[in-house]
Amino acid sequence: ASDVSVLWLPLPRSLLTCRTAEPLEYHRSFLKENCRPDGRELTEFRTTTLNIGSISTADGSALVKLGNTTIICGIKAELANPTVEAPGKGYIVPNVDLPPLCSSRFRPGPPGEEAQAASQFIADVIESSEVIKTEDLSIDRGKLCWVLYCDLMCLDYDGNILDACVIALLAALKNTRLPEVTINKETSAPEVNLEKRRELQIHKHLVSASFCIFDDSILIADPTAEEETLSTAHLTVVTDEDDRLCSVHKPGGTSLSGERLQECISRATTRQREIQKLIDKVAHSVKKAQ
Amino acid sequence: MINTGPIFQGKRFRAGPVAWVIYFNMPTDTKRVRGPEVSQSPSLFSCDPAAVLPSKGPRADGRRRDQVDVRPVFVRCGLVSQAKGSAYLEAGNTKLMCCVYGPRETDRKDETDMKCGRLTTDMRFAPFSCPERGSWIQGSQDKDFSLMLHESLQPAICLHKYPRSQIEVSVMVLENSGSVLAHAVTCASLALADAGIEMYDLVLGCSMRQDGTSYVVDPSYMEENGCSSGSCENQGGLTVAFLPSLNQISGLQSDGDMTEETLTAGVRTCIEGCYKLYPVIQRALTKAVCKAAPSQSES
Repeated sequence: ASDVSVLWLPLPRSLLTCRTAEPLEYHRSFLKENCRPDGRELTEFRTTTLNIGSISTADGSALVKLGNTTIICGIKAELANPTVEAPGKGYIVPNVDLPPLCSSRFRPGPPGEEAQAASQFIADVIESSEVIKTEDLSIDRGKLCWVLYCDLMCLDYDGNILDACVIALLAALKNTRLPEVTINKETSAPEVNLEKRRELQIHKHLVSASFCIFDDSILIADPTAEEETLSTAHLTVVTDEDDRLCSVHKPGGTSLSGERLQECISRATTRQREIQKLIDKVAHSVKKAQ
Repeated sequence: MINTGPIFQGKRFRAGPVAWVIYFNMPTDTKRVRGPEVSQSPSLFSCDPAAVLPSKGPRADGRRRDQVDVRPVFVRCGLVSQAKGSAYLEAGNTKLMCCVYGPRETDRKDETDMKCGRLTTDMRFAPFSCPERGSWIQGSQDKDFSLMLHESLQPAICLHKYPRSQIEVSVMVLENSGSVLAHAVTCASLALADAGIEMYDLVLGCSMRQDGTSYVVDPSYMEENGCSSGSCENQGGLTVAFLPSLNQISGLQSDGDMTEETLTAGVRTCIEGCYKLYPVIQRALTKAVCKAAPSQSES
């Protein structure tokens, strides 16, 4: 606590100009004291707030704020024919969009590298962890199944979008309610009852924790946009509620020793418990209000 | 037609140039994770018939017909940390967000105007914002709205004070529950004011829908798009963008088939709707400025 009060005293002019002129030196001066410019500890995550079910046109929605980073997830369910190779399975189609409104670094047009990489990461995590079994999305084997379009949109980009996307996706899936579909025996056409809805069955409660490495040695959790651009490597760990590892994503960058990786994984499991409690609390209060 | 389905979903990015050959006859978006080629909304198969809106009697949400009864509006400025100025507006279930970036150097150097700045507007709908899922690729309607937004905002901004610069306004509709263009104009001018861009006046938007002999102000999505049981003549919609202090109209969009008197009366109704909105917007701006300004005890 005493460290934090020192940081918030008016900084001398020399240190203020240093932030824009030499951002790396500015961050290093804080890391030497084992803290960061916004007053957090090295392994501390930013305040996370969650809002579920605010978009009535979507079948499920969630808005997550991780510090300043804001991600909104809307899920829309549609009907489609399953593929010949997998007649008993439905589809889950996630997509992450980083529109020009969330940050000045994105230009209008087709999705850039970062958006594509984030979409692919979320798709891989969903597929490999089976958070929702695609067999649950099948209505009529070989003829009709559900497609869940999970559209994640960033409204404010301040680093660590992967964590926020995973939380938003999980909360939105918990909030999703699919209408009941029956197949008319005579016409073999689907009949949808929009009033009767059932919830999705979530098999795994995934939560991700992102870290980045500074100067090949210092590990910090939940980087802001500035810290992300100055870091030398990124790492994202996804764990579930049974303390099992679902996915580790380290796209290149400087190397990391086994012990540091183990530290990250244990921090990720603690984070998983915090976020699961938060999601359960919010989902429960939404249910009570309904 | 070969159904490639989910086999290629996870492998698209690693396949490289081969993927282009496979997707030759599929003109859809290749930069996003793809689902099935065709999917339909479950509301098409709904057991309940489509609700037909009565053209008389009270409106679905309790507001009155033939009166300037706009939905109460919730506005907040300065929510996005990365943008120069931002605003969030909620009117009933319509939710939209606007961010302003600039003034900064123009993207296209050859079109740089030495005497005044440029305004670029971009209006997008989130895919989950409408009852029917929209696509990620901007359709013609999105581009149309962006152009109308540009027309409405340009007269109000003192662009001659920002030579060789570009001001970018981006609106994102999170939930479409009717009269989206009108609220986008209001939200955009709030965001511009929050960004400190010099303007002659705020631009407020209001829309109405004429249905036979009666009209509704600030229509909801069902009122705008629903089929009416009344006659087909004198039906249409009107959106007006208005500068209240200067008493000028900067944008007008109308569709449908309306008589001349209906149209002029409609314009007057929309202007009245804008005046009703004005005090709320002013209060929100003063609140945002007070919050941003240093408090009395510090100075």
